[in-house]
Amino acid sequence: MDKLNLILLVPELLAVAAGIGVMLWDLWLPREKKIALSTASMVAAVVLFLSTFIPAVAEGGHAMGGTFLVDGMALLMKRAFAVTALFVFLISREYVEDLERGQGEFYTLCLLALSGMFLCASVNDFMSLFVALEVVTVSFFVLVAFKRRSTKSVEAGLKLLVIGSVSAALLLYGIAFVYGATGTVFFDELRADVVAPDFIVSTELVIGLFLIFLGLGFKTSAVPMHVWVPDVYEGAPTPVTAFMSVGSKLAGFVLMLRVLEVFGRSAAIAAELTPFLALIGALTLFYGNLGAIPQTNIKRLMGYSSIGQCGYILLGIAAAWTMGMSGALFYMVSYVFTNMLVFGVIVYVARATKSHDLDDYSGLARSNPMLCAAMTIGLLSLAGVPPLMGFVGKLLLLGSAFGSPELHWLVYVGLINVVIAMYYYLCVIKRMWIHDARSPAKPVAPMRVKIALGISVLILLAGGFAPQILEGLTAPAAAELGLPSRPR
Amino acid sequence: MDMLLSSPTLLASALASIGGEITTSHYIVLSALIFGVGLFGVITRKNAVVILMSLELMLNGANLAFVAFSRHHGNLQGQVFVFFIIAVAAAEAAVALAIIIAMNRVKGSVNLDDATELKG
Amino acid sequence: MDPWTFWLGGSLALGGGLLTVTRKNAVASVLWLIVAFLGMSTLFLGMDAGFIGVLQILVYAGAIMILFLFVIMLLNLTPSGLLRMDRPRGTTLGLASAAAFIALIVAIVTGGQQWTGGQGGGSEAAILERTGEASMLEGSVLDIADQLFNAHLLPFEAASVLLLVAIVGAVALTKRKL
Repeated sequence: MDKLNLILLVPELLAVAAGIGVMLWDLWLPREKKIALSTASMVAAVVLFLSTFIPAVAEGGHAMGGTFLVDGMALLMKRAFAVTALFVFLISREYVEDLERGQGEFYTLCLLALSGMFLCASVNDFMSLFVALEVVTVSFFVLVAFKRRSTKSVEAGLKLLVIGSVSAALLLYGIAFVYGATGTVFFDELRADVVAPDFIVSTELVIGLFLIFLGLGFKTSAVPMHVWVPDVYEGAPTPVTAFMSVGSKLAGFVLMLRVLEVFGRSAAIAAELTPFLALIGALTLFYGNLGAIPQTNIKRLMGYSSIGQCGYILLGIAAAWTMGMSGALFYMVSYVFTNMLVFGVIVYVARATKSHDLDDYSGLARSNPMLCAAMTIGLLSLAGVPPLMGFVGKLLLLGSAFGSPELHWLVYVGLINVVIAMYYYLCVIKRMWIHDARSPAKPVAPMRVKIALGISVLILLAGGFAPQILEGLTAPAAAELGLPSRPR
Repeated sequence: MDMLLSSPTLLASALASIGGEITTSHYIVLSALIFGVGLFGVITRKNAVVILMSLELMLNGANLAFVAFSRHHGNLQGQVFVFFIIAVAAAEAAVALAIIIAMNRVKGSVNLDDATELKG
Repeated sequence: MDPWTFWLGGSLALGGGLLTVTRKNAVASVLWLIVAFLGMSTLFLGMDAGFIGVLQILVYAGAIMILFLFVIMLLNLTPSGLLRMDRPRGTTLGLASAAAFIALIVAIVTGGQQWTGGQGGGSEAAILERTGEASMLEGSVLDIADQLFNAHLLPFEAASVLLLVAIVGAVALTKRKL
């Protein structure tokens, strides 16, 4: 327990090294050769993905005196983060090429944010949780405001900053209360304490946990910390929006799962948390899906959609038993491929039309059938249409909530929202296939993106037809978490 | 809810003990007050620099709670946590002020109410 | 926990904080915030948290606040920008949410037994009885460093990544030629 065990930290250390390496290499490269940094970052993302398969890492265990934990969930999420980063680097190459400055900084910040996400997956005490979360948050403050000559981008950065800092303060106050009620910040000690027979669940502890979930809700875009999402998604550079909508969101979720895993072992605490999380989940679902209907900007639409998607994962978290955790992990992995598929198309359509109006997508079926098909599959998976991966994820999450009788109302809320979400996703699909084109622009995607989109489509189909492959990964990871294997 | 309604009387009884023994709860009430004042500032002010200062005040409310609990439990984890909060606050302030300077360059104003390009 | 240290530090911190958020001039706000930080530092010293008390002055009052002053001077905020301050709706909302938060915490803290006076609670005698020798912890540099480099090495290293992010970010956002 007291060993440093640095070998377990190899993915994190490599991510930091890659970030610093790109930053230093940037100094030596002449302006016209900067594009090599993009290639280097892609290679780094692949190496980081592979580094989670090093036997010593994949074996798991504790490191850094017990403040760092590698378990099934951590490994799975690290792989998801690395894939996300690879996608972001693939679709951001042209965007970064057009930047008049700061190309190296863009990749450095992305890679350092990735190291923060890796850490989030593995934290095992509240201090690391807070610092790791801030590494991700602060990187995104900068990345969102990266187009510093654009009013929209800087405004988005400022909005993210204010709301992010308020939620960080709420999170801290919550951690203070949990620390005050229990006397420790180490998850290992807390895991043992909460199941001890003489453990008293005090109001102080419960309020502290509520504040912690509110603070983490900022990252996952849960109501009431969701207010920044549409504005920031619209204002941020599109590749950053893509990274934020997946990477930063899943970092928030993995921390939520971790905190729930630690405290949910105690049935008494879980009984307090479940109604709270269920209420937040229901509000988030309605807010996201109803808000998406009148949108005319694709990035704002995706912002509301991402709020709605967050609501589904909260269903599984509120249920707080193994199937809910497994469903949440499954959904998160499928969300990586689904959202990246959609954003991959958005980036290249926007490159052709120079705007993000929903009107740009009219007639996409004729101007670029391949992108149109990819976007359709992505949107259908987000909507939860069988036989795609998103459908199986929704099924698992709704099923886990259905397990506990007191959450039945939440299942109905979820089903109503599936219908609402279906409506606005189908509106976009109809626009693409049936409407006539408004602009003569012909979007084109480079070969590497076509391949990536093709692979995502295959994974979404495979995940829908043979969900047991991915479930074979998520179910053991969820079982390891120590939550009850039956609904409460 | 009835706990919420009775809070003014509880606060009054806490204030009545001026000069008496100071317990951990005194510090926590004070930290909540400081946090609340910061929250008020964040919501009401529109100058981004002042909003940042209010945020620092909120963080300080949390700091006070951590140190008080550190003493309450007789371990140093709370104090070490404050060390990290101060480090994070410094990093955040640097980035925040950079964004404010960028905002001032493109808009000539640092008022959050003038940030109207994005509606919502 | 000398009561008068608490009341002195507390009134400085709270009064300074209130004045910070209500001053129309941003420079005045900074100066009042420094007063509030001095009050916080007094409270920390009163709780035997020596190192944190000094850090509070060195880093917060010294470094961060000077940075704020620099930026205010650099931006050359016009008086009109400073004088127009409140939004009418914002004041009500701000008062309501701050009051709700404070009421919630006060109700929980004073309603519970854990941190108030009495058996096993937060009074001096109870803390001494519970923690014994440990309550004499001074929070000196040595003690904190021992914790930092043993039990909390991971967040310490992560904080260095965070500072790197902040440096790179601040340069990327503001340097005129990059």
